[in-house]
Amino acid sequence: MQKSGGAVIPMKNSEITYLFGKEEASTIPPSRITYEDQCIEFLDCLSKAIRSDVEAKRYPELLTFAFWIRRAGISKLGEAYAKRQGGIKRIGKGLVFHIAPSNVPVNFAYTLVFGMLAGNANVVKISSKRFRQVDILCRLMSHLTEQEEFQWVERQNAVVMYDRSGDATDYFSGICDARVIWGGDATIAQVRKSPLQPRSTEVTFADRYSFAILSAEAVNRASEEEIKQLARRFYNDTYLMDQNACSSPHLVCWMGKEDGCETAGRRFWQEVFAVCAESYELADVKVSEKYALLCKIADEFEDIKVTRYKNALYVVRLELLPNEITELRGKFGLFFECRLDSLEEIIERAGKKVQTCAVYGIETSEIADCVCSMHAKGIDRIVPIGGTLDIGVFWDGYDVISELSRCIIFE
Amino acid sequence: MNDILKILPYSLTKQEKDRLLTRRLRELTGYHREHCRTYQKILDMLDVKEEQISSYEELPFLPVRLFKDMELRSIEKEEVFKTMTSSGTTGQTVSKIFLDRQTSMNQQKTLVKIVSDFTGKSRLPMLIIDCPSVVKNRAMFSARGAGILGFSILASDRQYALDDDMRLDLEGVRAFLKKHPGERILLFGFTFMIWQYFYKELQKNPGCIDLSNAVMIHGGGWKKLQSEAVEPQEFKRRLQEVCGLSDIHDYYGMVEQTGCIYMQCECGHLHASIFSDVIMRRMKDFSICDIGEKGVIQVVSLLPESYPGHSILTEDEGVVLGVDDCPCGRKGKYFKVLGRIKNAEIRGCSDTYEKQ
Repeated sequence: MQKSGGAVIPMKNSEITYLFGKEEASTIPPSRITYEDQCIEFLDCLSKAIRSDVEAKRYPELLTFAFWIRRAGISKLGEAYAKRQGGIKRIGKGLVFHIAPSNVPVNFAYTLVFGMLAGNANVVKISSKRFRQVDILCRLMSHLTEQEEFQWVERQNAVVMYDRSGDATDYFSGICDARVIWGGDATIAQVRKSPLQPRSTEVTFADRYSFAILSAEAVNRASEEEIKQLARRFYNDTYLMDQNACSSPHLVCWMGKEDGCETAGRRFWQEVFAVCAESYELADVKVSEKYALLCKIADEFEDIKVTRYKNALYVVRLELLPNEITELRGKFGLFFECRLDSLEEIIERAGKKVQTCAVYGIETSEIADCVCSMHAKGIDRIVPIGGTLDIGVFWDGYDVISELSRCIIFE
Repeated sequence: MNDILKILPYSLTKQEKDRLLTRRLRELTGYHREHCRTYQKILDMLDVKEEQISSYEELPFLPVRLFKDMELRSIEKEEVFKTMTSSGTTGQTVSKIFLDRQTSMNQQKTLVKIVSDFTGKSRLPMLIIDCPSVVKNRAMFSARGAGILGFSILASDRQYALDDDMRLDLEGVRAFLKKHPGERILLFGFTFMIWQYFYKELQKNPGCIDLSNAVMIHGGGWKKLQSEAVEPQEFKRRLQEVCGLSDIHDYYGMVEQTGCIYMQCECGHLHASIFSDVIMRRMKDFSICDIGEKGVIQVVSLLPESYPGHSILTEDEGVVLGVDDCPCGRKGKYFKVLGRIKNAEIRGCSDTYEKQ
């Protein structure tokens, strides 16, 4: 039984498995300051451990994570953060309870790092669907914390697994100072049944929608090499996650004149098809779902033109954008496309569900200005194509480090 | 269609059957294009020009789940004579198939023609391995109910082997057998029901009834028996053990193309009759598999007039074993069904919850 602010929350029927760390984490050790040196040092060592582990090296997403937590990268983030804070000091809120998503194996590590960098103790609940990547990371972390200087990491952080039917979510929600919920609308609704303490805050990653804007002129002008790279990046943004990530584009908007867009589209999609023909594992069940979706789209929309690149890529061209663009959803390599005369046409349709705008041949700042001047409800991220899945401390419209820390001002 | 129904179900060679299928399926495609708006939009999207195709293999197919997600009809609502649904478990969405009198009648006739090729022309006393309540609601037919009613037409007399609590009515069964001494008995039911409520009861008292002169037809798939690890061969062997039954035929069929069932012959092969066909497709590009190559099963049927279900891509895997040359003597394709296509691990940030 744990005590927290006087409230005692008994946990009756939950069996908790600790993949990393111990129960101690939830006894809420003292907070640390944001971007603390010790923490940066630990992450850098973890980065090295991942990069030199034979098994870990087999997973590109682990290497991406390892790259992201290097000292060089994190220190830079820390410095930029301190600068933005001016004279304000920041310290962790205390204990952060994270619910990691069930379908993205390495996401739990990012959310844990966010919590650590913000200066907190962390309990990360992962899905009972076991992923090899999770086991590898937990093994490497446990190994590191055998060293004297990193023992604090194990005492203050835990990666746990438990059955949803128990009351563990109630328990951790009741003692945490902040809660981070990944996994979309349904999970958020489910977890919110467990109340937080009055001062506790919450960061929720809801279901979002993303799209891309390409300049037809830039695509037509691009060299063979550039267009191949662009196609590969687009593939990484979409197919790599079965087009099912919040930040994966479903809609490709073409900026330019009609005939220019026509040529650009043909050139672009042909290259995307070439990449996925060579890289995408197109399981039969995915084709089955994708083909059914295409038939439903044919029924739902008027005035569409469909181009099929075998069953690897379906492109549905719309003459006009609907008012609600978030209805334009593909999967497993089914995209909508539409021609735009002006950026305003799409920005005015970007409702609050819209997250990432991926661009090629257009200045990201131009779109950011447009979002602000038009008071758009949506679009939190404008990134070049290829960068939509690059998760970071600014995500989904949140400055996550600030969300998970408290500021101390002194006058 | 009436002329087609006069042809013997396994009498045409590949060439003759191809010609028949191409003519009729092309006609049905044009017909449904005119009578079903959704179907028309899908054909337009796929850029299909049916008048230009030279083989039925080039005609488009609808994904089977479309019948779950939308109501597809080529007749007015008022003309719907009955609506059939697949036998999904509670919570699952089910296919809805709309029949008018004509299509429903053709389904019946086709079923009779196919089955009597195996059981003989004369009607047989039929023992239904199910409970009477499954056919009570006649407005909404489940696949189970429809199967029973369809096969009932072949019967000279009928008896349900189970009561409404799914208990074996051994007294009733015995009385029924006594009533028809020396006659060949037709047993019909769903594979899982037969195993669970018939075989398992008989197993407690082997030899309590003698069905050595009976023929059993069963369908509905093996999925539910997988957990008990019962293979088709085992199923047959065990039934023979407890009641002497040796003439057992599995069949493959679906509510979306009722009537056109694929019966298993004496050699253990499923056979396509002249009223329908199977085409195995490679999912990477929908090209046609070679004989012996595994693919996803497309089914075509000459019957559907009231709904655009004459060409459907199923979610089952199968393999064509040969054409026109099965040792049993029946013409047409013979094949094997390998089960459902495998679920893949789908990535994404939004959690997926399995429906209970």
